[in-house]
Amino acid sequence: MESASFEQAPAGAMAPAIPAAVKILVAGGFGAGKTTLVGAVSEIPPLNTEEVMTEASLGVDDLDGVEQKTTTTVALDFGRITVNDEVVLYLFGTPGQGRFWFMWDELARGALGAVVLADTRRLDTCFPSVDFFEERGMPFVIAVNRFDGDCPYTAAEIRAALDVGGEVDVLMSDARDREAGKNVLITLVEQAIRRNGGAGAALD
Amino acid sequence: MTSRHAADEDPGRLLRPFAVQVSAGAAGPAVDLMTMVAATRAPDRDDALRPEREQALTVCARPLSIAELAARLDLPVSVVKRLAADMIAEGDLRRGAARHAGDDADQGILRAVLDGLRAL
Repeated sequence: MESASFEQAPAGAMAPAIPAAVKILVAGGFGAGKTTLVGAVSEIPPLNTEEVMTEASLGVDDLDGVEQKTTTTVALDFGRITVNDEVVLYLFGTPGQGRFWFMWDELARGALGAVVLADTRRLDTCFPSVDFFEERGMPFVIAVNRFDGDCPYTAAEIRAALDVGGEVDVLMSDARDREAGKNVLITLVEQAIRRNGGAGAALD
Repeated sequence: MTSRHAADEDPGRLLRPFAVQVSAGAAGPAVDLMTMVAATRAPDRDDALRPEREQALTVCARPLSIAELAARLDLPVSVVKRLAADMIAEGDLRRGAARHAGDDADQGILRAVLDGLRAL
C-alpha cells in the first residue's frame, strides 16, 4: 500500500490536544459542483473514501431490478478547514443520486448544516436534498451554481420554484470560487446560529 | 456486490482476511466518521507486520477524523472504524470527545466556526 500521508507531523507533536470535529454537508444533484465547491474552500486537496451503506432504510424508493441488493458502496469526497486549535470543520460532498440520501443517517447526524447546490438547468435534481434537510429541520442554504457566468433566474424565482421557507437562504454562487464558497458557508453558519439560538437545538 | 448480507459489517467481506487484521467483536469504543483520533506513540519495528496499523500510527501523529484516516489508509470507512476501535482499546490511539450539533456547547462551536470562516 502506498502512503497516503501528505503531512508529516513535526517532532515532539505526539500529544497535542485533540480538536473537536464538526461537519457541513454539501448536497445537490449529480454534476451540480459539490466536489468542486469542497475543493475550492478546503485547505487540503479533496480526499476520497468509501463507505458501505445498507439499504434497509431506503423505504419506498424505486429499486426495480436491484431488489436483491442489501448494501451499496458509496464514495465520500470531503475536505477540511482548520478553524482553530480546538475545532476542525469537515465538508462532505454527498453522492450525486438523490435516492442515496435515505442512507445517510450517519453522515447527517450532528452536522451543523448543509449546502444544497442547485443547477438551474436541472433544478429538480436538488429536490431530494431539499426534502431531506427540511424533514430533519437542519439548517441549510441553497447555493445556485452559475456554470456559465449568468443565471437566467433571480434568487427570488428560484426560492419560489423550490418553495422553501423564509429561514432558508438562497444565494447565487460559483462552486469554483473560493470567496463565493466561503460566503456560502458563512451564510449557512449564521443561519445555524440564528436557528440554534431561537427555537433551541433542532439539529440532532 | 449485488448480494450481500445485511447490516453487520464484517470487514471480511470487503478485504481478504489476511489483508487487515481487526477484531470481530462488537466490544470496544464506538467511533463514527467524525471521531477524532491521535496516535499515542510512534510506530516501532513490531508494527511492520501490520502495515495498516503502522501507517495509522504515522498519519495520526496529528489528530485526524476517522473519515480522513480512512482516506489516508485507502481503506473503507467500515474497516477503519473497526481498526481504530481496536487501536483505541489497545492504547495505540486516543480519541477526542464526541461533539454533535445540539450539544450545549453548540453556540460556542458555531461562533468559532463562523469566526474561522471569516478569517480565511
